[in-house]
Amino acid sequence: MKTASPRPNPFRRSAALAVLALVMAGPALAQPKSDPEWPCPQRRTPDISLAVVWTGPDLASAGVWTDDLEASTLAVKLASRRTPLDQVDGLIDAFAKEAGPDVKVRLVRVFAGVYEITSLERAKVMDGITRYARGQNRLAERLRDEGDALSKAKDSPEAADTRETQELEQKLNWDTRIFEERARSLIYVCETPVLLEQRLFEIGRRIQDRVK
Amino acid sequence: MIAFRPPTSLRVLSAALMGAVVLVAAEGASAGMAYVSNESGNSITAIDTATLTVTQTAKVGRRPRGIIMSPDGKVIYLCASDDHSVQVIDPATLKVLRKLKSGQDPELFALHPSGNPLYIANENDNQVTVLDVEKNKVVAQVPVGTEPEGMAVSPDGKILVATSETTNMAHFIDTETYKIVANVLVGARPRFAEFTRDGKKLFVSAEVGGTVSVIDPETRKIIKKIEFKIPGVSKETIQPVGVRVTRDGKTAFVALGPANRVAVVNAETYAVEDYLLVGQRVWQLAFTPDEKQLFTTNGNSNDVSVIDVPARKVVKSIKAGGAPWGVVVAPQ
Repeated sequence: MKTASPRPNPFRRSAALAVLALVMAGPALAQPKSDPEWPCPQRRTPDISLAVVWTGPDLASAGVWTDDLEASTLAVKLASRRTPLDQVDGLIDAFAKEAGPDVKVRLVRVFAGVYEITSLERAKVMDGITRYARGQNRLAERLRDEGDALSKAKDSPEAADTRETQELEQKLNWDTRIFEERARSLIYVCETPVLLEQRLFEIGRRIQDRVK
Repeated sequence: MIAFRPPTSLRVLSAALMGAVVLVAAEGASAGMAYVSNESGNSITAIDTATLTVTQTAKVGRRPRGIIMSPDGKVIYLCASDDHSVQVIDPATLKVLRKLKSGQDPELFALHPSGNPLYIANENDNQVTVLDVEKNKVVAQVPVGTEPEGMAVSPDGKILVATSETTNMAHFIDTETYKIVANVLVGARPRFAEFTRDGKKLFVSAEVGGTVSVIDPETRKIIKKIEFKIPGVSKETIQPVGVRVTRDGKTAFVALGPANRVAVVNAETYAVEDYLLVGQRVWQLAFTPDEKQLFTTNGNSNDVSVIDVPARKVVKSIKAGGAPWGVVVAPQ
């Protein structure tokens, strides 16, 4: 006797493969492997050590940077990524010209400000990346469950295109899209702390040249 | 009509003069120049070491890393890692003259002091490829430890050293028999090897171990493991990579990666005498022939720092291409 074989379902197979691929891509992106909350290829460094960007005078010896209105105003401006790097020299020189006899000390204050502001901004970005990783991990889990649910629903012989399977399919497609879009932006997200460090280093170098 | 034909003596003289001009041109083309490989920029940058300015930038193969020159300064050899080849480049025009067989994913290499052969580390195949650069012919493939990387040839050309990243070893290979004659355990993830000019010491940097091992090539024993400490910089950030030792064997310079510093080490007492702030993720180093300047590649700040060697001061930062990796300075 000929037994009824289940109707091959191309969607089920491709959806299952897609989910599998996505779920596998998650941990592959995450480096180092021991830290599931760090999805970037760059090494996770919690903060920027002052000594890797600055060999000038001790920042504390210059006093509290926020107490110096002009210095802190300049620090905010320099730290902002809206200020193009090619304007940095002009801004520092203009400040130095008006800074009076304490110019070197005040320039150190400016750097103290840039360092603190950039460090805070970087810490926020690092938090954001961790949240992003957690979100992606949760979404990967959900995709797996949704894929399972859809496979189960479609496995039953009477399951054709019922409303339930259609809804499940839609949900899976939608979540897959979100997951993929987020994964694509990962490369830019991971670059942000690096860009902040680059900017801080460059500004530090220019101020250091003037306080030698 | 009879064409003018200069007397033979004149012809010989003019030919000799032409030859001399060509010779001067060939030697003058690269003298006083530094060449930088830009890993993400897929380019090389030429820098005039007298004016410290960029004279030319040219596209090359994908992911260029290791870069060296022939002893006569006539060609540049470049590892185009993602193209799985070594490119031979004209230093005057920066044009790729030809491509050599390198094996998979070449990263670093060393040239025999005579200018041939070339020893290439193939990280993925766990072997060293020995290549005749004239014939573009693979002479031998030597299996070594996992992920070979740093390469150095002893000044007498008799011993080749290959470091393997995962096995944490410096392998000593006889260049006549291509047999491994000794394995020395060094720090974690050895990256780079450099012989002193007299061949009496071998410096091997360990990126993860954070140390530089000084080995006696005679006994093949470690004489000293140099450690680095920078106040305010975490231990993990100090990742030694490129090493260069002055010709007199008295001073070693060590690039410390993301610590953004170059350590100045007394190569006789092994005391670290200074840490110079250069650029971000400092990777490789090269002296000018007079050893008055040292060039450093800084991968994250996309520049090259110039160190005044006698004064031990960083005197200039020169913008290069994307992620500068290796640097070579033309011989005199």
